[in-house]
Amino acid sequence: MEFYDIGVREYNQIINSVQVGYGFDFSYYSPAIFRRKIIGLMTYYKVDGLDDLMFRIENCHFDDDFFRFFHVPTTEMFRDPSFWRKIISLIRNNKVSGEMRICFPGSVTGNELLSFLIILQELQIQEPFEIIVSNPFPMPINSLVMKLEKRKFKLSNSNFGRLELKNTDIGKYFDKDNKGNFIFKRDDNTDRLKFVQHDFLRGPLVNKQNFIFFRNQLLYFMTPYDKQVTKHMAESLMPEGMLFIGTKERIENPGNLQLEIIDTSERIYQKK
Amino acid sequence: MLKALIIGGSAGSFQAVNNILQNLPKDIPIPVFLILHRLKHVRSGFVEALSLKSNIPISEPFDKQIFKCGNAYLAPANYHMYFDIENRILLSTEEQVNHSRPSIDLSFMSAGYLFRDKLLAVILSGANKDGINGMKTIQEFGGKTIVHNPADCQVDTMTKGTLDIISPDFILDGENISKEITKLIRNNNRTVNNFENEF
Repeated sequence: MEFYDIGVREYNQIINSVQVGYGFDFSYYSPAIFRRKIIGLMTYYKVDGLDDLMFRIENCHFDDDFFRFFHVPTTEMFRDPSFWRKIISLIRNNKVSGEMRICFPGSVTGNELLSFLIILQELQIQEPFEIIVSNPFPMPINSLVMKLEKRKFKLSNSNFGRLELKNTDIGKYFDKDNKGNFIFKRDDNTDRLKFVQHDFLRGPLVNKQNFIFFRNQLLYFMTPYDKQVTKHMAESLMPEGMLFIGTKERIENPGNLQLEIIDTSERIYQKK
Repeated sequence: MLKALIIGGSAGSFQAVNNILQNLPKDIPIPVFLILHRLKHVRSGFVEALSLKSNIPISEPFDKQIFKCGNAYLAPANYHMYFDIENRILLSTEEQVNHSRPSIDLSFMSAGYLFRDKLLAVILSGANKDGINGMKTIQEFGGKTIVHNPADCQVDTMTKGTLDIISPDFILDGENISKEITKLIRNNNRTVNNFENEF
């Protein structure tokens, strides 16, 4: 792995180049992480220094691959099995009347969303619900591979087995293609997904949500943008709606957002 | 003047880390970062185990937490740990590096970049190559490096690999590492107050 020394001036130049070349503002992104992503991009494409990088960005040499390097990775399916056990318990005890609204902002890899869809199937949920999949980042939603049935997933039976469900074989939800990749089987729940272009930096969703899954994504926002996104998500929740963030993320002064923490270990916040 | 101590370890490093933590001065005037490979699904117990003998408080940081002198910060299970301006610790869920998350290489490179020649890095026992490139980066930025003597390590892949690519400032047995750290800090950092004023 190479290590390029990207100072503040170079960093700002790269941000500007991305805006010129691709029209997207990445200034909200956590600088340390952005720097690492840039280094990853330069190493992968054997970019010959920062001038070459800027030239390639401004002339869009990377196409959609460019965005692949700036994904917010939410890692593997069923990350933090104890969290998913909590979700199973919440769904089983769900007292929401009418349609349940669930939002997955920035579901780029699809791993969190897919984990949730599988749990809905495992629990044989019959109640009506709507799942909005949006993108809080200023990236074109079409540039991301969002369609689950075309994605190749890494299966984790060990994580799935920790959910303490009757079924312990995650493989039944997937088809294997001729290259050995696992592709999610389309089902009724997949049809209920609504892909929406929505930027939580700019404002809340109009439809009030019961659950918002935003785990391990505030990590990638620079302050104060993380606070802005959190505020808009809090505003998007129904009373008693819940916001899920990562176990190592925190919301400062949640009371100011009408939120209270109801599970400190799994970082679950509820709207008052 | 040193501004931070970073320690990386993997298989077989627990005893050496414990030994260092129990012999560090209580008033150590710099933050200590521990990047240790660990089970990714076990979120509790490690801090408690290390705290039993440690001379300084140990915690797992939250993302964007400000680090303080005299405290040790253990990279949380299944997160990479970086360091940023304004003395902040950043976490990430990016892909594994060297099959590891936390990755010692990533944290070492980040710390090397931020602290430059004011960083002291220690690499301990381990069975893979994570940390080797990080040590090289730290040395390139002028940081001081200590390698646990491979002959004294439970597993020597990591330390031998490091010695293959750099000539560290020190190669020490486990029991001497904390003594050297203390000596380096005493020689480089006059008082806690001076250090904190400059930080």
